[in-house]
Amino acid sequence: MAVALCYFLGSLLGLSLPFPSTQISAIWLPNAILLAVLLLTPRRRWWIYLLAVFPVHLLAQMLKEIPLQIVLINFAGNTGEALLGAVAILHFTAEPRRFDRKTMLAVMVFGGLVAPALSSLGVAALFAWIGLGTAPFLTWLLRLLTDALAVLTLVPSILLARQVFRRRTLSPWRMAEAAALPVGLLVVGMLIFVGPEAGPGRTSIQLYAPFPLLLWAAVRFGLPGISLSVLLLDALAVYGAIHGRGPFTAQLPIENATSLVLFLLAVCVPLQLLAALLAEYAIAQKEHRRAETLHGAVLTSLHDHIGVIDRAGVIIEANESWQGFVRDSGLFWMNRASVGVNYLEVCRSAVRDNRDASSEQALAGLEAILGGDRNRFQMEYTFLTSSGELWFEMSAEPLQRPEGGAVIRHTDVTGRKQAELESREQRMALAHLTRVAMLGELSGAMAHELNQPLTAILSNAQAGQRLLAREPVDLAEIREVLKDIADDDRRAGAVIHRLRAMLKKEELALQPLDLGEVAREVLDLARSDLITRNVLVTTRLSPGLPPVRGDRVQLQQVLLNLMLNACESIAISEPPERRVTVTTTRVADGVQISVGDRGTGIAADAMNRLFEPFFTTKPHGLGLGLSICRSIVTDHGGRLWATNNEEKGGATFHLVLPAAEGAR
Amino acid sequence: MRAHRLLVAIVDDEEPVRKALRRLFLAAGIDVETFASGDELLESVKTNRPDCAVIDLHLPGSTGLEVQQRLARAGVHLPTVIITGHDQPGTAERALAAGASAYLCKPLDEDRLLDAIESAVREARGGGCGEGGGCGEGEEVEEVEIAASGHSGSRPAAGLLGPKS
Repeated sequence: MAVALCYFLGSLLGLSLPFPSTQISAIWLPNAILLAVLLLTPRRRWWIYLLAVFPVHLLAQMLKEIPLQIVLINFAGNTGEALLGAVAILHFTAEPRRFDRKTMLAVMVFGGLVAPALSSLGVAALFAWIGLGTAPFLTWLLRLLTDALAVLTLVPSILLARQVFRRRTLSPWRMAEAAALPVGLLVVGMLIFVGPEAGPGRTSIQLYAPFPLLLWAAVRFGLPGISLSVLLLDALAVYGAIHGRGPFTAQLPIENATSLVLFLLAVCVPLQLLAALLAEYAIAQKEHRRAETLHGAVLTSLHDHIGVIDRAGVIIEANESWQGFVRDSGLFWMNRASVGVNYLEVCRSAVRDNRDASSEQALAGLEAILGGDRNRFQMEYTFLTSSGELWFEMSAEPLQRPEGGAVIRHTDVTGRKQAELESREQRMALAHLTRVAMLGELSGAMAHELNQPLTAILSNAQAGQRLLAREPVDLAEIREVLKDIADDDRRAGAVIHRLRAMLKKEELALQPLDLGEVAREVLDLARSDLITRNVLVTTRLSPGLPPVRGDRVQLQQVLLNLMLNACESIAISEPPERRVTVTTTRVADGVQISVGDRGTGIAADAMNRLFEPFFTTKPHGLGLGLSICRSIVTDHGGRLWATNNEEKGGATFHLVLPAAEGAR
Repeated sequence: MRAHRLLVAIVDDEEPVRKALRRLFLAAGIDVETFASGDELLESVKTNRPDCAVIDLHLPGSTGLEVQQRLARAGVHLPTVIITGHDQPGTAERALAAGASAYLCKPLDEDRLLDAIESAVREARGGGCGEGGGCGEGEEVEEVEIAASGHSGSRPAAGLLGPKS
């Protein structure tokens, strides 16, 4: 409805204002209006508008008593032009409201040039056909140019209308500016186009007068500004031309009109392109600033200390956390590491002054990253502050740009480290407790172990006393007796020593170990118990196995646990089945030791849960033994798993430990 | 009256213990043969029967008690002294019920050990004559002599058998 109304008014206006002696309206707005509408609405609705416009068009033209033929030709021309323009423009830009250069050009070329040209051609042809064509070329040109001007001034204004009115509250200055512009244009326009008498002398200089104002309009008020300003001038110029005034009066009316419109177009087009360019630039600036702000905000928000160094090692950017830390920590190598300082030099001086391994490591890592030898570098380091020991993790990655560089990050991992240490301590304590419990189970057997040497010592000593009472004393024999006593004593001492080692709660003491020897020691420890339980242990210990790196006591604990478990599983078996086999072999990733029995085997549903804490198949078991064994083995970098024996029943537990470095 | 040296079999799985006991018995005038397991003893007994067996309870394979049972089943009437380093409740009763003459805990005091052996042998010999010794006349009484222990200030040599006084 609104469209129809505008079209109507535009038509009336246009029809009322033909250029003198031409049938061409000086200002023909309806086409431009229609084009704008078509650009704003979805294609399927177009027919509505076209249909709505028809009666209005008829009405307007009827009111001016224009013959029907002409009316129809005009209608065809107008709607054809708008349609053609709309289709072409939409083909080139998806979003016509975003008036960048591309859109502007499309509007100019298709809406302002091609469409009117073609439609005018059609109209001119038709006029000629019905015998109305006087000066067809000029007619065509004038119609083309006036339509072009209308399109160029109206279409952007209409399409950007929403933008213009959405402006945030204008400052008084801006409002003054917005008021001053049209006033200025009015004054100048009147002076040029309306005021003076017609005369060729006026032409050149005064024509340039509006230019500064229009430039101001384009720069300060963008596309709508320039478009409307030109429209205003156009109105004034047309008014002047109709009344025989203004600079363009020297030639034939139609030529004058053409010159006028051409002048306005010549002024309008470049300035509109300028305005479009400025708009594009402003958007790009805004985007850039937004990205910058976001980038800055991200860096500032990060709790980690982030620093960026260039290829030479100079710090080119550092976030708030980094700078704050440098300021406040007062510590050796982070000190002085602010933007502009060469970070590599800082590290080097730290190495020189403190001879500290972490600085060296950091330096080496950074140089490797900068040199392109590594893609990622990470290390942990610690230092003492007044509030205690802090743990940090430093990582560095290459900066993805042609000039190279690196991004360095220091993260405070004190919390995590402490949690790790605590959990490790707890695991150690748990391992110790279960070890003690296991040894408690063996205590009877241990007592027996000690009793044997004591028995031998006592009987030897008493034998010795008897021998001394004889005549002559057999000194050689006495010597043997004493030697045997000493040996037995040492044996007892060894048992106690081993026991004490297992009972102690100490940090991991990693050393190269022979797994076969560890197995033998465990068998020794459990010997008495095994005899008591009446279990026969068969060993198949391969010679020449590479050493593994581990803690003797903890590995003994694991093997002991496995053996006691094996004994438990054969507790109800008959003697031939009361066997446990311990085998050591070389495997690809290290050394494997297997403890197998011919007992009851492992039930299918228990298999998955075997190493779970508190899972046990024993009536009085705590269920921690195997889970602790597994965590010990994992700490050693090995694997622990169980299988059921296919042939003879029972189960075997396998333990694989990696061979110690340098031993193959 | 004639005295002959006793032959005692020692069964213990540990070499140092066997060696020490052997020394002790030899010093006390007793002949010794040593075995590391019950099976070895049972083999040897077929050809050479000792006067007494000192058997450790804690043996691989057959335990001391099992060895005793196997001896009995084989019809070998051998006085046994059970020794152990790992005394547990009820074991003593079981051992004695199974026919052991004595049950001793390690470390072994020589006097008690030698006493036990002496009693065991005596019982075995005197068993045919009724309880607690005292044989009828007409039976030859064998004298067994175990040398006095070497330490001074001790009680008189235990178990010196002689003709009944």
